Amino acid sequence: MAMERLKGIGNQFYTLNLVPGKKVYGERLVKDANGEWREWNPFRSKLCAGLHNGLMAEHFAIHEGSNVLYLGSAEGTTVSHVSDIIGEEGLVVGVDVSPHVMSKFSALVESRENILPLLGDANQPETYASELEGMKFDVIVQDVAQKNQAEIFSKNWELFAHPKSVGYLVIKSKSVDFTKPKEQVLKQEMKALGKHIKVEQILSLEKHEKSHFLLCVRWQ
Amino acid sequence: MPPHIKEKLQEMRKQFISRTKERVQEQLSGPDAHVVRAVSSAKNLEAQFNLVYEQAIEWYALHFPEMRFQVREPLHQMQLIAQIGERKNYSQENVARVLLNEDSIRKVLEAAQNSKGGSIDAHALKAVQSFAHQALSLKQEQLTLQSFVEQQMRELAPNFSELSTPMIAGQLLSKAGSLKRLAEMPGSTIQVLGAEEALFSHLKTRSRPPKHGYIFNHPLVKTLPKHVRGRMARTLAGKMAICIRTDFFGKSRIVDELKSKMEAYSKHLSKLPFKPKPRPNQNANFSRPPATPRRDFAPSPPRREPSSQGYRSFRR
Repeated sequence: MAMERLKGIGNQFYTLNLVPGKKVYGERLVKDANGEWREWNPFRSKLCAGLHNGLMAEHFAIHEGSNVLYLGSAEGTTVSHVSDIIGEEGLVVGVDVSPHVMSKFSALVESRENILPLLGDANQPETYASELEGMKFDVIVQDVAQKNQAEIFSKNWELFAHPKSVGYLVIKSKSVDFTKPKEQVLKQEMKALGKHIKVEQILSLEKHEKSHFLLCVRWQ
Repeated sequence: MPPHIKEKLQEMRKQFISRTKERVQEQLSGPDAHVVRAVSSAKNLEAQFNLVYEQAIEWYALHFPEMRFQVREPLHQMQLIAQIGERKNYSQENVARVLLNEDSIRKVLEAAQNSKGGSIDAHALKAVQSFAHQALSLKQEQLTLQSFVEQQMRELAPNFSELSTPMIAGQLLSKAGSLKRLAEMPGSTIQVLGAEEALFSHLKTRSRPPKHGYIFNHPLVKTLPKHVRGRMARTLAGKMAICIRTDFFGKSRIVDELKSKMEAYSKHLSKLPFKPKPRPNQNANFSRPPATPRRDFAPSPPRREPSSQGYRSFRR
């Protein structure tokens, strides 16, 4: 059985460093018998916050060899950990709309061969669907600060998810409507996901990010 | 993973990297990106100038405190300190190089003669003058940047910068982030760009909405009496939106007619008498007690037990 590339010790999670010796954002590096691990900060990565708030590491859909579509990759702090976990056999496509941030992301891409950068608007997946050449992804992660978060997710889900895919959708309620209470926004966005998507788990990330939720979804 | 698939993915990755690089370069080389940075740099320089100016003028006040009250303009104050220095060196000739008004020159010279300030030794004077020089060069830098912004804005968006002054155009562009985003904005957004605090407070707590943001500084708005500024701001912002879109999508010249319309409107508004309307009680239909408009959106601090230190412990 392949060695786990994600582990939790005490109250911290660590990912096995794909590029030993190198830090990505000043995180702590820890060596043990199996190799070098990078400490994963739940205050910076929503996925890690999810692991701290009820997402079971054993059921975590991102594992060695996974194909991941990451919408809203920004400078790549979370994507770097995803890249660690999926290892050399896996693939993560990082999509972001901002050129300023994508140029910083490209520096990360140079050193990791399992990351593909994509400058594009997640709100218009048709614009990059042809570039992905019909590829389907095991996991689709979305963390964007837009008003129509659920709509963006379901558009990408329809195009890029295969029957067994798992989705991790971060709901930033302040970006949707900062005047409404977060529970109301959550309900609204869950409804907007549509009938084809089944929400399996709702996690509140309140301890690490105010007014954020993480939804685990699959096909209905 | 079978090797031929791995090869294909590697090939794909190379393509993605080069394609992304091209697109990033394309988007970052728009002239508007540079203007946006220049505007924020100019703001930064202003803040730096204020800090250094404060150092210079406070220190100099030990030697010649009356000067800052006789000479009001910070730039002139710095020039006097940098060029002349000690009180005893103030003369008609060298003060006249900085100040133009005969009256002011006379007042400064008098103040220099009768100053209650102490003496200053050569080393301290050198330090103060060095601050003054630094302040002057920061100001120079800021003015250079501002004229860069103005010149760029005139080229980038000729209609827009003619209608709103180039400086305000630069500020609005900087707030929007890019000319494309600015072109997508309705006039109502342009009207309040720069008044975010008031806008979000209004949205969240139903306080009164802002009537103008950066657009307030426009001569056609600023010079009007208070009760009609909002109307001018709204109309002007709408016309600005038209100009921005014309500039973004193709640069035909449409501003002359719009500008004369706006000037005529401003003139018309300035003559309107002030008739205050009876204002409905905003709290009348609230189902909950009226909120005190709060400008920060942090949650309320947790209630704490009164401590032995009295009122100080409740201060934030």
